[in-house]
Order: sequence, then C-alpha cells, then structure tokens
Amino acid sequence: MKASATQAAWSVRLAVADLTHAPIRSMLDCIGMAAVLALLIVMWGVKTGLVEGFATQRLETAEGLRVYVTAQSPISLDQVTWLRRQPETAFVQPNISFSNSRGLMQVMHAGSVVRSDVLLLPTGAGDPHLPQGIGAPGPGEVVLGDDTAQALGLKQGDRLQLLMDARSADQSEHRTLLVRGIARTSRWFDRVALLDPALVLEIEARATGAAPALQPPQSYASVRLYARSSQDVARLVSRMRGEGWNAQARELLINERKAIEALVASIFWTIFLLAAAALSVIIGLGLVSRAQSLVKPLMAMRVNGMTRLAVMAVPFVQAGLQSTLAWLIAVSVSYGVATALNTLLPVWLDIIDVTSQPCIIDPGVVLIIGAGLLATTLAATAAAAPFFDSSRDLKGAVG
Amino acid sequence: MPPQILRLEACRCVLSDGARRFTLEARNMTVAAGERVAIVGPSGIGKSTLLEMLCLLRAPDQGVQFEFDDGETMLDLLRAWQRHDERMLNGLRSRRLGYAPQRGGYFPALSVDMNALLRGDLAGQERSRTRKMTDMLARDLSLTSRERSARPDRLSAGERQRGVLLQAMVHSPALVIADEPTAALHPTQAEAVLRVMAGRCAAVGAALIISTHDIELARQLGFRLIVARSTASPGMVETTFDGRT
Repeated sequence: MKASATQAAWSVRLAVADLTHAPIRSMLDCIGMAAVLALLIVMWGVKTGLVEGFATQRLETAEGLRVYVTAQSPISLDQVTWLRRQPETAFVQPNISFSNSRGLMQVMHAGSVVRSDVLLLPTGAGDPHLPQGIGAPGPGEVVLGDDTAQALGLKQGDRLQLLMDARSADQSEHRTLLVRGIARTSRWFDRVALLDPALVLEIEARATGAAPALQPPQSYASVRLYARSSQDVARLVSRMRGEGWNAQARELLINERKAIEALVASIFWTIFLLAAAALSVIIGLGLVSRAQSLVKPLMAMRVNGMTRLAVMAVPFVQAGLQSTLAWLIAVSVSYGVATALNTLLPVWLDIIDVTSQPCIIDPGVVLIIGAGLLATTLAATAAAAPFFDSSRDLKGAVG
Repeated sequence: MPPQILRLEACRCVLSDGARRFTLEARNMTVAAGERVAIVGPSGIGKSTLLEMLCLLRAPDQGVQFEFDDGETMLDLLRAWQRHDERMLNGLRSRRLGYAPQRGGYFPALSVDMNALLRGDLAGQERSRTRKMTDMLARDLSLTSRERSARPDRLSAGERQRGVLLQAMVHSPALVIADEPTAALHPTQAEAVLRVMAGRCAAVGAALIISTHDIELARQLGFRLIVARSTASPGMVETTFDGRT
C-alpha cells in the first residue's frame, strides 16, 4: 500500500517536473487550448445573450406578443371567452369602440395647469403593458405611459385629474386618479393611460351621450389580444385562423427572430467545429511533442522499478493538469471579454431599451466545456497510450 | 562460499538488422554476492545487450536456466518472463538491482539528488538513509553541490555518468550493473570511480558487473573477466560469453 502511494506520488511529481522543466512549451500548449476554449465560451455566451436574451427581449415586448384581430361583425362575449381560454393567450381586453377612446388629463404645477390629451386603454390583470410588479389599476387609479408621465411631470404615487366628458375643460366634471405606476409604452403608443375598463366604458358612454350601461356589454367592437410568448403568437394566430378569425401578428418580427437565431446558430456551429478541429490538432501536437520528450525517461523509470501503472499515469496527470490550467485561463479570459462586450456593445449599438446583456456566460456551460476538454485530453492520451507504454520495450531506455 | 546472486545457463538472445542475424549466448554464468565481474570485448560485440539481459530489460529468447536471488530464494526468471510476471520482475528491478546505462537512465526534469531520492523511494528505502547514502556517494564520486542540484542535461558527460552511478548504488542493491561506467571519464578519474564502486559494493556485499575496455584496470581492481568470443559466417554473427573463461 505504501509502495503504491509512493509510486502514485512520484507519478504526479514527475508529471509536474516535466511540465515545469519546459515551461514555455507547456504554457504554449495551455494557451493554445485556452484560446480555443475561450472562443467557445464567449461564442456560447453571445448565442445565449444576443439571441436568447437580447433578441427575445426585443421581440417579446407587449406589442411583439400582440395578435391583431379584425372583426367584420361585433365580437360576442362567448368569443372573448373562447379567446381567453386558449393556452397561448396571455391577456384579452375587449373594447366596445373600434378606435380607442381619448381623454384629457390635467395636473396643477406651481399654480398653472398642465394638460395632456391621452389615449385611454382599458386594462386588467395580466396586461403585458403593465409594468412588472404593478397590478391592474382600480377605479380610482391609473397607470401612465412613460411619455404621458413626462408630459404631465408625474411620478408613481402622484395624483391627476381626468376630465370625464367632452365639454370645455373648465366646465367638465373631473375625477382624481392616483398614479399607480409608469409603463414603458412610448415605443408603441403616443401618450397612453391604462385605466379600469369600467371607467373607460363610462367615458365612452359620456362621449357618445349615452347613459352609462348598468350591465357589462354583450358584444364588442374590438379586442386587445396578447400571446404568452413569441412562439405562442404563431400558434395562436394559426389556431384563430382555423376557427375563422381574421388574425394577424407582427410576423416580420417573428421571422426576423428566427432568421437571427438560424444565422447565429450556423455561425456558432461553424466556429464550434473549427474550434474543435483546432483543439484536436493542438492536443495531438502536444501529445506527439510530449511523447518524443517523455518516453525515454519514462522507460528509464521502469528500469528503476517504477510500475507500468505509475509510469502510464504520468502523461494522464499531465493531460489533466494542462487541461485544467487551460480551462482556468479560458474562463478568466472569457469573463473579461464578456464584461467588455456587455459594457461596450450597448454603447456602440446605441441600445437603450433592452436590459438583457449581449454576452451571458452560464457557469453550467463553462463547467461542461471544462469537463469536455478534460475528457477529450484524457481520451486522446488514452488513445496515444501505446506510445507512452514503456513496458513494451524497456531495452529502448538505454539506447 | 558466498551465496549466488545470479545464475545463467545457455540463455540466448537473437537480434537481426535485416541483413544479418546476431545471436548472443550467456553460458555457465554465475555471480556470487560481493563478486566483481568485468565483461570485456570489442565494441559492437554485444556487451550492452548481455547487460540488458542481466538487468532484466531484455528477455532471453531461449534459455536453460536464469535465476536471480531475491534475498531468500533463487527465482526462476525464465518462467517469470514466460508468464509476464511483471510484479516479480519489477520487484527485482526496484530493490535488488542497480543499473547504470551508458546513456540515459535518469529523469531529465529532476536534479541528480532528486533522481537519487526517486531511486531510493522506488526501492522502498527510508528517505533519511537515501539522503545519507546520496551524501556519501556524492562525496566519494566527487560530485559538487552545484552538480547535485543541477538537472542532468545541464551537466557534462562525465558529471552525468557519475550522477547515474550514484543513482545505481544509492539504494544498496544486491547487484550493481554498469555499462562502461568510466567511458566518459578521465583515466585518473576512471580509476577512482571504479574503486569507489568496488568499495561501495564490497561494503554492502553486493556483486558488481561492468562492461569495459580497460582490462588492465579491471584486473588490477580484482575483477573476474568474462571475455566475449565471436564467430562470423555469411549473414550470421554468434557471440558467446562463457563464465568459465
């Protein structure tokens, strides 16, 4: 047992000594492997960040998920219920008018009145336009679009007045509303306010001079419909068309995403294959070089009584040490490159409305790539084992 | 009568370079503990090949008897080779044998001292004893501390040769085999080194087998000579090392 431990300890010691004996060659081997690995890790990070995060975030905005419904006849309550029940549906908001209602909002600032004409959108729980963590506004509340809030100089928790009818601003009845939150809607709508549907109905009734309805309407002129994800948009549109709906989505965006995904995937796999080939060459050259310098000294160790197992362990320990060192270098470089990309790319591309980072390095992937490298180098060493197997021809030790 | 360490009878190795066939035979070869044996003969006759067979690097292709003392009994090595008994052969190589080849025989990434430490560890020798033996042999072989701490490829041929001899004796083996141990040394240094080897082996009762061209020095130091005899015929060279000559 003690003899085996001694032999094992010397295997490690000889492996390390041989690596440090020719430090430049050893470091070049490591740097070669690390360069290829770093490329792979960064590529994977860009694939994850740019496509699955960045592009998804650009496309999976509220309006990217919207399905536009054009109805020739009023949409019944049953139809709205059917839409709501579809597994791809995230949110449905029926509207009694074809076009969205408009209203006037005002607020007092330093003795003067600031007014803004805004689009009034009925909303409810699950509306993707509502900011995260902010529920649907109640009867006395409003969620303002970011440009509306800016125009009125309001922030969350402030109060404003909504004019309830079409008479002149001074004579109109108004209602005070609490700003429940600010939504980032300016990319899609020009000055919008999200309100409780009952309040919008009341304003629409006043606008047309009708008495406010006591019961919810049984049919609607239009619906605001959103799918759960960009993949669900296509499925929902297809399902609706199958049921006779005239439904459309921003297919251009979806196709754009698919094209980006396909492009990046093909670039990634091309580089991956090239990198794998480069890695194989680097590992192969390293093994040949190591075999040339190591075989004779290892034979000498066999002559001195080192066991075949202990001698064969030397190139394996070296492969393990070199691949681990290469992996550590690659991880450090990759995180550095990722940080630089995440800092500089949004500035270069002038991206302000996407919070996802363009290069996301997943530690799990980094570990898998490291394990892959270790397995590859050990497998290559195992394949080259006959070259290192000094027990076959000990007399060569003295030639 | 000192116990025998090694016993060979009609052990043959057959080599070929394509055009010619070389046959080497060791006959009536017995080596006792404490004995000094010098293998002599012209270059290329097969002295190194014989030493490789004696130090268990090369299996004989044929043989009647090849026995080696493991400290308790004489082990049948013809059988061990046939059975590929690496455990037995490795045990003898590590503990009972010390071999100093003409070239190589060390790990180039380790210093002379570290190579000696490795040799002692492989023989299962206590490190304190290995260090003590290294100091003593280094002093006797005139290796300076600079030479001892240097890697072998940074040393001259003579320094390297002495380093390898140190390594072959550091674990006090029962049989020390050295292939032309003084070839790279100045004549005066060669005699001193050979005296150190002979003295060291005598001190621990080890047998010493060398190959050499310096017959006079070998005789002077009490080596029994085994002279190679060779006969050549078209396409064939036969060399015999007879222990009774």
